[in-house]
Amino acid sequence: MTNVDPTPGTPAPAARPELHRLLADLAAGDLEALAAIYDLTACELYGLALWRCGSESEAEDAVQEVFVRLARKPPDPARICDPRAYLLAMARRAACDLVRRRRPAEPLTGLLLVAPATAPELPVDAATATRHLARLSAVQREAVYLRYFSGLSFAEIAEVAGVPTFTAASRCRTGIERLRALMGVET
Amino acid sequence: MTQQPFPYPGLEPPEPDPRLRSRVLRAAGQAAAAEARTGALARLVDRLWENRALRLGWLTAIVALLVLNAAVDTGTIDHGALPAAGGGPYELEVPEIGSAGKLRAGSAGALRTTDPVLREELGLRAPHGAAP
Repeated sequence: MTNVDPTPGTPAPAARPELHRLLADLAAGDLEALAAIYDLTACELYGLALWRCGSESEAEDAVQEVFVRLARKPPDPARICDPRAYLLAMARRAACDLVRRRRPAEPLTGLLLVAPATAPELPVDAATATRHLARLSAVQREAVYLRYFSGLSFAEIAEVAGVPTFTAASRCRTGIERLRALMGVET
Repeated sequence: MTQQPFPYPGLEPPEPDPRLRSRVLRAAGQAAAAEARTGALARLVDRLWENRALRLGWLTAIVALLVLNAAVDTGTIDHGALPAAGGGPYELEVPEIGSAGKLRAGSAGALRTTDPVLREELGLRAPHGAAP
């Protein structure tokens, strides 16, 4: 998954018609479509769940939960206008459920960012970046993730998180400002 | 609105373990199979309920039963003809034993008679306060 720089308001770059078709196949009883949906969306769903839960094992459980729910009761594709946002919202809900179940809250245990194998020398290492991200609230982390790694518009983030667009934009902006402030303190 | 750059260029969220794919698809397959088993009856009921011809059939059957109930005399005593609970006994004439012996059906349906001989024959208990 790469860091994308979307123009606000533009539709997400993912294969929306392809996902629509796959969801229609799934609704028609074709379970093979699940594998294709997984290949198209798993990285994004896992990343969002990881940023929300902070634990790799819980993120995996959240992804599994999404696909189990899809298999158990395939959604009607005619009622889904953005399948990618729909699946991200499912992953978010599954992650929130897992976090709620394991009260009291635990500190983040997984790395939220990693350096690609071929990456040159980076100004901030992954552990420091993860430490900074851990200082954000879960909803801010989620908004930053959806904005910068899923490339969603604020309206789409709002749809995934179930909040007004203004709130989604505000969460994202304050999250980024906080990260910048944390970087300024440490450097 | 301008997009602020991400503060950690070059870093990316980690990808899921490759083994997760088979685990997820296996769990999804099992869930679908379990759903197919348990959901079959629910789907059948749904289909029957949604079937217009079947609904019309049920309605016709119910109407036919109501009409039959209203039109055909079943030979049973109407509910209104019986005395109300506690409303006192009514008497049944038994021609063979004449007017001296009258059988009475109490409101609870128990038979009573004032004739001690008949009571003896029928094995009935004496009413409260009466001589045995």
